[in-house]
Amino acid sequence: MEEQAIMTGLEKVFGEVFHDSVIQLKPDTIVSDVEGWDSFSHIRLVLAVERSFKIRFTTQEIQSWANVGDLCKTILTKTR
Amino acid sequence: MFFNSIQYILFLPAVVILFYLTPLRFRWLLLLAASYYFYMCWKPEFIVVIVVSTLINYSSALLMSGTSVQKRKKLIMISTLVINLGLLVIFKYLGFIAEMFQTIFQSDHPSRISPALLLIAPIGISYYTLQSLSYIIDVYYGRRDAEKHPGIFALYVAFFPLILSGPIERSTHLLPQLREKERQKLHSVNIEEGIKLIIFGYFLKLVIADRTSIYVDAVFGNLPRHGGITFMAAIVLYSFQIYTDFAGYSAIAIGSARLMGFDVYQNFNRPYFSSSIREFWTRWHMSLSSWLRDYLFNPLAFSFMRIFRKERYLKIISPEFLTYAFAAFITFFICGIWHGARLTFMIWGSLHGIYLIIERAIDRKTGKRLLNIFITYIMVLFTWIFFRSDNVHDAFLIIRTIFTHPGKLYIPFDSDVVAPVYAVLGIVILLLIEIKREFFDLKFSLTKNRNEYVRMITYGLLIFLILYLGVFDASQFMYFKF
Amino acid sequence: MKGQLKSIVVKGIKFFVILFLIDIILGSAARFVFFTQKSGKFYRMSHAFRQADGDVFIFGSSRSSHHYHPGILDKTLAINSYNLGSQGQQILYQSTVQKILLQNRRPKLLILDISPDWLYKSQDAYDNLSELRPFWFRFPDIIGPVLSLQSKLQKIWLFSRSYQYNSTIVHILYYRIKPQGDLKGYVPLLHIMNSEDYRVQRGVDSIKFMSEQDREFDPAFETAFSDFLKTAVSKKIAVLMVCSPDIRFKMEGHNPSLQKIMEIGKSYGIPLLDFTDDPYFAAHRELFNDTRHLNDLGAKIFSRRLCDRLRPYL
Repeated sequence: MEEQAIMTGLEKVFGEVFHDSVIQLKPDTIVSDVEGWDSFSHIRLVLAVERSFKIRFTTQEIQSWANVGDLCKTILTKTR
Repeated sequence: MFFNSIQYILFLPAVVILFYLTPLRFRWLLLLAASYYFYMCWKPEFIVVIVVSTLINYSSALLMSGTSVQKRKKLIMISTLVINLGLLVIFKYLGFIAEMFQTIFQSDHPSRISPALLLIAPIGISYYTLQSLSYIIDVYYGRRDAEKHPGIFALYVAFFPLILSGPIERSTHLLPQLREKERQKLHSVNIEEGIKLIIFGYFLKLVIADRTSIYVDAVFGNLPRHGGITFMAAIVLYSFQIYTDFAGYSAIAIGSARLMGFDVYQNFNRPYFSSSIREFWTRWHMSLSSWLRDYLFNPLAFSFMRIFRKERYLKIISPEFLTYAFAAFITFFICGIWHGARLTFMIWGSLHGIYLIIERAIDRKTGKRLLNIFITYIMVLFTWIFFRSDNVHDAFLIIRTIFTHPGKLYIPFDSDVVAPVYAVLGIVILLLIEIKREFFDLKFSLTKNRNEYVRMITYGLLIFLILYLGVFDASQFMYFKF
Repeated sequence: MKGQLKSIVVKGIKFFVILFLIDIILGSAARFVFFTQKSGKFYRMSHAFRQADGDVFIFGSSRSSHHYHPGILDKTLAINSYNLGSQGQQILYQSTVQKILLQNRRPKLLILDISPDWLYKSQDAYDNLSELRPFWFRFPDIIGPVLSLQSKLQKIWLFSRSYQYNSTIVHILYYRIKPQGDLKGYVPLLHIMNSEDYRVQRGVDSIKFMSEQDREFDPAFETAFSDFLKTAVSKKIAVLMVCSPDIRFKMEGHNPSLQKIMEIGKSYGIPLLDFTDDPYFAAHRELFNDTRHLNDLGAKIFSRRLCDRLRPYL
């Protein structure tokens, strides 16, 4: 999968989780940039991303993310 | 040496002046020496614990980054965590554990470990342990590289403004600053902002915390004598005592670091204006709550995520909710224990855990903001009863008395009639400042006014409020105990 | 770097000038308000220090201020007396006030109401001396050294006029709004101790009593006590020590501090009147406000009984 396609896919997932259909994601988007991104929605987000891309993250992977770009990279390596 | 001692008022400017006179590459040495001196003013022997813990964490991080074998890395990480937590348990909880075993086994032998051990825990150990743990975990997950300079790492652990009670810094945030050239240049903005924070910190401590404690201690020191109304008054005052004591300490810590150009995490953000418990924990002891979120809640949540994989539990409960509930409860239970080896702290933490779960289940979003602020404050107030009480029995006595035996409001004897008035006066001033900042922040500001004379007069008057209303006899900040 | 340093120094100087000016303005206002009080504890102090005239002055803690009724003493004995009792104050304070008073007055008799634990180490005894701060500028030679006992840095703090009036403003406002009657230093207590009060306070007292068994003496307090007696003796002013009624203990109890007080008193030939074992008060709990203090009725009865025993010393 291409990076651009992943970003588009992520935007859709984010839109569902945060009830906000116009979220614009950039690689350097971080938690505080998205309204409502708290501990609970983080859990929902991870599960939703896993369902949507049909992958499973390891704890190591989840823990290493600092921004959306990191998340995107992990998905990229998993879907190759 | 405590922040509200005369020694600190002399020590800090001396260190700051020396700091700017020292060339950049030796500054770590100056600050490390100053930090160890600061710490040793209290009980010199406990510096050993800090040095040992620093050396262990420094070398294991290097070992981790030196190996590419995942299994080895994990082994090192886990054993380092065990050592760190082991030190914490030995010094902080051993007395409690021994006591517990004694009760369980009804042992007739006098305990070998004296309960006095509870009292001698090295001050600040709960704080620098967390700060070191975050470093180890960050290195393990590759969020940062291992620090090669032992001196700079030692300074990160022992930096004097933070060592006694935080804010709990992160290696990703504070450590790089310790060698940043641009940041450490003398800048008048840093000096001004630092002094402003320190003045405000002393205001919180001397005018409010130390005044309220007089009444609170009088009531809690003699529970059977008082009625429900008095207890309610004491708990409300206590909510301000603990807030201003700790926020005051934090402000002085942050201000002290700022004088040297360092940017330290904010610790309190007007917590009693939160509309929910969830929001409260993003505004109360923020450096601890974010630590717990990143290093305890999240790992727990990701583990539970793998356990709860059904579509629905009991037909209505989603796996996400179940994950959240378990992780939140455990996190806050541990948060309670972190404050000390007492059942009352565990109940306090558990209550907050339960609050969060209920809030999540109800998902209350609508409603008036002021009403939500009020409800949240009352809920927090209830938990403070447990936090302040010496034991569970006392806490329940207070709760029962509030509902069954209101009694008369206790007003201290004779001319001390005015002591609580000072406390109330201080709280009113604080609330005015906070209401202004919370609801009308964009309007006219005195503290950030463009005209420097307005700023100076504002802070000058704040100093005089301290001189007129403050308590000037020796007393300690309370959050050292944890 | 140079530019920044200059701007910091300039700002610092400006800030200090502003602080200095605020201190002068607010400090003078505070001083004015303080010394124009008409009621309350600080008024009593400033009145006693400057104007109050009399043949008999009564020194002591809150027990003194609540027990001795100068109105009754004056009427019965045809004297002019003033009660200087001040809450929470111990012997350091008493000897300081005595020095201030004897600067320009020659009373006939000083009554010192004894608290049995006066010689034990006590942080409160030092902390409460802060109440003398507002008067420091009038009697720097007498009050200065006493305040230095609190901490050597007090001298620096006292540069600030405002600091001298720390913790006084609420007092002042309170007694402006709710003035106390002036009874020559006597402050009546109006509560009548009931059996519940007695039970609870008794418990607290006995715990306190136990913990007092092995308290250390503070040599500064012993010196202050000797000073008090020495000064009076050298100026040929009679002194009388009195233990006013107290429901907590009997004087013959083993209290090392009290024994020491009696010993020192004896060495100066100072007589002691003991009301702690007065059976009348022991039998009438309703005359007390709490276990340590008589109420108004109790104080009046005590003052009358005192008169009978005071006559020989006048």
